[in-house]
Amino acid sequence: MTRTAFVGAILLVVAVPALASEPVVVFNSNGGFLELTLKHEGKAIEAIVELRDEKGVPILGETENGEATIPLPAGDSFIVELKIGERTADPIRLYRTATGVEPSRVLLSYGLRPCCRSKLKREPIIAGAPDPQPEIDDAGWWDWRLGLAALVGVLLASVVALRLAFSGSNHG
Amino acid sequence: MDKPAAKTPTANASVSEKMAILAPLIVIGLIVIGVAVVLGYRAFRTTAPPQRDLAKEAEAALARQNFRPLSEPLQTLLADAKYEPIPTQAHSLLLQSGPDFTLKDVEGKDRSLADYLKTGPVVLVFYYGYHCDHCVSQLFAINKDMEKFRELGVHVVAVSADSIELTRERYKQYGAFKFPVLSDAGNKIAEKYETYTPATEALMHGTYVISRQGKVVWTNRGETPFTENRTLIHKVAEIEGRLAKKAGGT
Repeated sequence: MTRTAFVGAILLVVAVPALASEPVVVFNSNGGFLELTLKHEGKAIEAIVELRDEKGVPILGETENGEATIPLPAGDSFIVELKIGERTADPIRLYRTATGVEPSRVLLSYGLRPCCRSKLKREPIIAGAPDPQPEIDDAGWWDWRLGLAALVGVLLASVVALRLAFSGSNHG
Repeated sequence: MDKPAAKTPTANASVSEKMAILAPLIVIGLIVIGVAVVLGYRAFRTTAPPQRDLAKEAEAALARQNFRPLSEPLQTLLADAKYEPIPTQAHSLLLQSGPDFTLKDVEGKDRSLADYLKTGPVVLVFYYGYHCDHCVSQLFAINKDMEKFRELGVHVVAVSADSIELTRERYKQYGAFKFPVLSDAGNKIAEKYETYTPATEALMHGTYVISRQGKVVWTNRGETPFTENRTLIHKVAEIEGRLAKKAGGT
């Protein structure tokens, strides 16, 4: 990939749709170096970059204005790890190809590796079972209160009515 | 002619006595009726909850994400040089062979990745299951654009741990999808594609584009279903050589 093409690729990062809410990194190999550009919603962001070859030997670097140039590790593939602030993105394995490195554009993700996933609460589903219902709020409690209030009202009204009937028959 | 008997104090007293006996009975009766009404209302509420419509809820979930079906013809979409697809995420399977699988579809027939790949690339979707709006919303999104996927010659295959019976039941309730939905009991295949972690029982939505050669060329995982169908179509068109090559391909 030529430098012009790389610049073009960088420009494309800016236009990534809104769904890509995490930073996007663009890679290019050039003369034995890995060039990377890191942007989030079009703005350059800084990161500490660690490259590791297939034996795990690290090479450290950091971005400046969202860009870094780091010597390419040996081997057909290597790992790129980006630490942005306190967050370390999921490692990216890059493969050397005849034209550069692949993948050349990656949407960063966090904590998606099997080692790092937390438990998701999920109820088992059985065929034939009723659909799960939305959580019931405290409306039931209010139903009871309304019911009781209505009951008390009816009782009071009955007592008054009876009392009136009583007094009417006494004086009739 | 006899005069009608005038009411005597004794008769009034008799009425008062009757009322004195009737009054508490009437009050008790009213209490019983009141309690019965309240209990009946409660019982009705608990045994007949409002019916859910998962299909409608899934559509509403898509609307909340501002999902719009692709309205332009496929050729117009592919010719749009300004469109930038969402890049792939990192994944240990990226640019590696997608693990093969054989799973049953709703008719109980065995379906394998290798068989699908004989006739075209595959968009493989791991969804949570047909039991909540966002769990299944990606399937509704793909269903709306399925003609575009077909036109491109790509197979869309959806996988979840739902049993065949459950999927059949949902099909009866809400209609079938236009693509195969396979049953991955115990999330065994989801585990191979790293959308399920048995140790933590963590499940993710996952979308994979797999080339005819069986190589995973694009992935997206997360707790939100991926509904940007245009990116999937763009990626498939790219690997099928139906896009003009651009800088920064993958």
